[in-house]
Amino acid sequence: LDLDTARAQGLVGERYDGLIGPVQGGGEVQALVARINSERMEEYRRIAEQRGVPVSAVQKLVGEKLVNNAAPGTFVMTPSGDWRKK
Amino acid sequence: CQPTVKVEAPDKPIVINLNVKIEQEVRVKVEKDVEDLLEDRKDLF
Amino acid sequence: RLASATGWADLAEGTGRLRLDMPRQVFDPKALRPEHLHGALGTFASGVTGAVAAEGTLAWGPEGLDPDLNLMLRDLSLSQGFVTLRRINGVIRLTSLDPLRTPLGQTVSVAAVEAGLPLTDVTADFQLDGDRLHIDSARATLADGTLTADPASLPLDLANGTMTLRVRDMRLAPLVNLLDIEGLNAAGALGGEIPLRFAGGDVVIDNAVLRSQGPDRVAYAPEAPPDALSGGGQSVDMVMEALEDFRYNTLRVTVDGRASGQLTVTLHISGHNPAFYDGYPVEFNLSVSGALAEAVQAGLQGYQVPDRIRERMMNFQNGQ
Repeated sequence: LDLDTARAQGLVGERYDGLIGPVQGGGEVQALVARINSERMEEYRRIAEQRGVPVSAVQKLVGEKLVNNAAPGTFVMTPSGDWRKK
Repeated sequence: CQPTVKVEAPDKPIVINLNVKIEQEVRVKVEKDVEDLLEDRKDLF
Repeated sequence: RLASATGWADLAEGTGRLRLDMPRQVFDPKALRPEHLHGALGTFASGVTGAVAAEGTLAWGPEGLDPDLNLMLRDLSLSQGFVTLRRINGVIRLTSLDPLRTPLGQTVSVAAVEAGLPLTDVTADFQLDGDRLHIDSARATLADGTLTADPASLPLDLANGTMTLRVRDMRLAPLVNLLDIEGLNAAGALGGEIPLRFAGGDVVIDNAVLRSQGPDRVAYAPEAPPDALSGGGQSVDMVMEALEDFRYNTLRVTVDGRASGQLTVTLHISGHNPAFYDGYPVEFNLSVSGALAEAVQAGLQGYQVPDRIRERMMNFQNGQ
């Protein structure tokens, strides 16, 4: 299961903290969410340390970009915490 | 008649405002790093 | 060596019982991650460091798996969305693995919780139930003041949910230090509530209000008056004079903002300075906005795990 298919099938969605969240359960989805999020967090921490800003600032920046340009039909999390289909 | 000038203690207090912003600008470099990241790691984003 | 197990299994009956022992495993985002030990954990925590160890029994029979494991957490740190927990310590008991579940009354200490507000010396009594966390009670320190949390039930991904922190006589002086305003000294204590709302991993604080518990004194005498000072038309030095020795009768602190971005703390003070126009009433509104949560990292060196939790960790190790 790769990220694009999972997003297209509505199994995962983008959160504005720059991470993906499981829209539906299941072992395979959980494994994908865990792998993608931990590698993303590593990149965010690298940038944050390099530029001396909190990791949350990098997360927020990426989150806004990903949620805004999410493909139509895929899920994004609203600021109040529910999944919405673009 | 002689207008009288009454000096009452005005009840409206003096209002003092002070707004302090702890500067934390997201540097342009961070923006650029993020763009590069989204480009380089298509598998992740 | 990940774990060792000794015990018996009756294949015909489909029953068995194992004694398990997993020595200390150190998490590192580049190497061992929680999801390597248990699939679900990867979705609930990222950037995990620190160590875990486990011991206990795993029995199974027709009705399924019956684990009874003690899991020791040692200086575990993790993030979920914009909330970061630093140095979690304690021993928790797991009585189900799929879904993950603990009995009531698990206790851990956390050196610091960054959730918009920098909370330190946290202890929490909770129960883990699948993808939900039931918090029975929690205590924390904010600017040397003690906060207690009402019982709350939250999804582990912090997608939604609320929690209320109660503040009782939090001294103003350390809070003002946290805001780092040069030349500002404030006496007195505050009480009130801070409602937290979780949203997609973010923590939203909507207009929390803390009030002074009695009249007291504020003195604001910076070296150089900040240019942002506006006194409704009064000249700056007149304003400075008013704030030099300010006796307030009411003081309100409001907190607004999000962990992911700005937090604004505003002091609304009303009172007078006896030496200023013989006590003419003055209102002073000082608002400070910025990311306050980062202030806490420096203060963690001296952190001590509370005794009762450290004791349980000792017993765990002796047992292992």
